[in-house]
Amino acid sequence: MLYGHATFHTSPYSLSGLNEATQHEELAVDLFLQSIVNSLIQGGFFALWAVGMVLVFGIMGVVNFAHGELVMVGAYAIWVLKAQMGMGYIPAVFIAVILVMLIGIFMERFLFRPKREDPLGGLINSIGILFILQVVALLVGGTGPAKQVTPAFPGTLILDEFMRIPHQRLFSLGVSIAALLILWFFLTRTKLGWSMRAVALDREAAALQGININRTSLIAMAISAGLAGLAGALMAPISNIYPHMGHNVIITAFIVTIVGGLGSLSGAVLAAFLYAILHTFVTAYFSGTIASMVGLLLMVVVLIVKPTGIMGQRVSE
Amino acid sequence: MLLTLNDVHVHYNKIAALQGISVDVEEGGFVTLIGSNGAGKSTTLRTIVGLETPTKGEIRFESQLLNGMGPDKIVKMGIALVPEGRRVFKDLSILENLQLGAFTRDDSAAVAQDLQKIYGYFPRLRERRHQLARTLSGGEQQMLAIGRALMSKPRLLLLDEPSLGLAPIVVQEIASILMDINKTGVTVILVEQNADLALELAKQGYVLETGRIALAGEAHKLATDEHVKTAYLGL
Repeated sequence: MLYGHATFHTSPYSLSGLNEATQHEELAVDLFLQSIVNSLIQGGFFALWAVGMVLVFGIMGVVNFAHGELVMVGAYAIWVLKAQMGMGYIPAVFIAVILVMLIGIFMERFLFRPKREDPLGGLINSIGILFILQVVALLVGGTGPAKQVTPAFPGTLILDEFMRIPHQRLFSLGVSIAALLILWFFLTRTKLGWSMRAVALDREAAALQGININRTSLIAMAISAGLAGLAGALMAPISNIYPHMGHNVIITAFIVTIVGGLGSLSGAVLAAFLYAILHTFVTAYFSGTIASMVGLLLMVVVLIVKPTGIMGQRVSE
Repeated sequence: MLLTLNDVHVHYNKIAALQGISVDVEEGGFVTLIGSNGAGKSTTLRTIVGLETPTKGEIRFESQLLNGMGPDKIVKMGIALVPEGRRVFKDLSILENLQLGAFTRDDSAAVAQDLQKIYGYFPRLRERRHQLARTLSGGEQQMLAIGRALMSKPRLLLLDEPSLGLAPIVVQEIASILMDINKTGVTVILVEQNADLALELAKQGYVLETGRIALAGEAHKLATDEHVKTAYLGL
């Protein structure tokens, strides 16, 4: 039940009212089209997971192993607020994002900032918080079967007899893409975003332009955690919620980050969708376990053949 | 005095890099720090701009104490460092590099004027303003690094080894622009291994040896000093 564990519920298929031969043929086309749609939705999540990790790695030089647990906390927040307390989904999403952002701010200020010149120390601190958050999730939700949250947007978009997209997934895809676009706009069109790119390129040279490194790191971590919380909140109604769900997130984020090129945000987004297509199709035609193996294999191949990833550039001369 | 260093000590871990440096820089002055590798020249500049913290002693800019201030505040006060190795943002365009130099300013009209002034000093930067900085030659990157520092409208400009690795003709070009910048009233502190050049440009000079000041005086007098001649000028 490690990484091969399927995170998302499979979509329902309707098999009524067709003769055997047409049904078979249509199913093949359907599986293909449905897999493309699923790839897009998965890709949105993969990108949300990876972009936050890339941002923190680029700006702070920290590999945040607890990134997956931030996603998990976002999902748990929805379970507590919506399933347990009966709050509406949209306000619950806002609270989940803010909660995870606050955890991220705490991590930057008290775990990563004191270890700024010591990447190994930052990494070990992030592993520490990873275990703490898992235990907190156990305390909040208890053991037992994975938690589930009923979709806030029931109903399904029916494109044809076989191809159906639940509204909840459409909502997730839309919000993921919107969040990525806002991030892109922020990083390329605002002064603060610019300063973050400068810090990612050369921290000391950025400081010499008057950019406050502590403030930039804090904002980067808040954004990263906010995106993780958002991803968790979006996943909550369509996937199983359990304390170790971050495991799948962190491995996927690693694959996507390395394939995309360490520190390259656009590379990570591109790699997220490419990897989602690969993963979804291998899952659909073979199995989830093989898909995960293929993903890790892809990462190893990229590391050997092109260690800078598809969009990465040389780190320095 | 625009800048005063009084008995400044700096340690890297427990190893002393500066062991009591005292330097006075007048407004409008052109001061050079010369000395061999590891003498503490770069550390002195890095400490002024807040990248290193003094373990003892005082740094004052117009009587305001700089000790313990971060580079972001110090840059805003009017001190800019052109770092060793240029350190331009290679994956950003030339224009973006220059605009980042003005990060602390919000007087956009004056920033636009200063941009034109820098293009005036370095016309090649204007021609290539939309290219990535990594496409520039070493000399052009040095010009960009100087231009970027000037974009913060500094009153005090610190330069760490600007001639390193550049062709003699480019070094001459940069030297003459540094003189022009100094004539506009910007105070300059130049750290150089190329002591001939540094003493020719500067009015005041300090010779650093193992974290201490071994000699100080007017640059043209240092240039004729026997010790300086044999140790640094290769005569």
